Amino acid sequence: MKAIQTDVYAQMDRYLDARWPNSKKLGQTLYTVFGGQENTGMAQMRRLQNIVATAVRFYDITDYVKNQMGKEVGSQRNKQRYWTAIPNGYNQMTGTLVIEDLEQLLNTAQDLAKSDPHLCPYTLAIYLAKGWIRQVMAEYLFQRAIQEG
Amino acid sequence: MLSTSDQAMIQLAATQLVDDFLSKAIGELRHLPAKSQLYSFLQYAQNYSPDIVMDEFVIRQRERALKAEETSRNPQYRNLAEWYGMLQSDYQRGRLAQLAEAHLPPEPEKPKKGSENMQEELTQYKQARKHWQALRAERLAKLYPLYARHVAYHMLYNYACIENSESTRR
Repeated sequence: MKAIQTDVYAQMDRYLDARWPNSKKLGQTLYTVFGGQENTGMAQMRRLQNIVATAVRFYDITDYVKNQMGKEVGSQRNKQRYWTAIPNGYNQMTGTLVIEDLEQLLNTAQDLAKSDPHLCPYTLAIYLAKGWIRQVMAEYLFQRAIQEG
Repeated sequence: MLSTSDQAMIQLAATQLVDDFLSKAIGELRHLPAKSQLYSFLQYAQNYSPDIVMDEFVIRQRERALKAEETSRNPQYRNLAEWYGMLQSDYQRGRLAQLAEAHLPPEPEKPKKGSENMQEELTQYKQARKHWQALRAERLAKLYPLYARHVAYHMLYNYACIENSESTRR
């Protein structure tokens, strides 16, 4: 790895540290939407985590969220909604909040990739997404632990 | 494996197709192509080559929608016909077609009339065109499954947004 690339990865780590409060807030919000039940909302979170961890293409992650949102369209009124639910204090759907975070990561990756033509913004974005989901999931599980004992 | 720039361009082409369709379509969610239509399209695209997807699914569905529109005048059929028409034209000469052709040698040109070796040139042209079309088909076969995924999922995402704004209006 070239020195400039090492520097970019260090910059991404700093960026992730700087955006930790946002990820913390998102983790809290996702807990209020998904809850901590292993067979319902928790499974959705685990699946998201798994998709991010194994994604070979950055857009696989956004596609997953979009598909989950679409699945809930037109479903029965009394059926639990997760991705299309609007969390308290927001005017956007849960899925849209997640997609917006992912877009911010991609924008940052695109800016950082400008420093070296050999760097691929999508590869950097996947690195950022992996750091991001660790932060979000940690806060989600923390909320689950303190609220459900 | 597709290059990352190809992947980005496919995502852009797919989302632009959906956005263009939704800007033209008759707004309400109940008039837009059903979710089952999107999943069927996705299934076809994941399992068959793009020309089969076109011949056996897209074109057929478009014809059915046009016929149904003639008899019922239901806006849903008009939207459906428009939707399949856009998928077809994107494949034939739209952004997707341009993307597929971008890395190919230029399309062979038909020999001009009146040339001395007209017959020979025509045979050469036919061969060259056949080869070019095979290259194009090969490249489209690589691009299409990913394109279809982006199309279907971006459409589903928009359905969620439309449903949300419809329920807010009510």
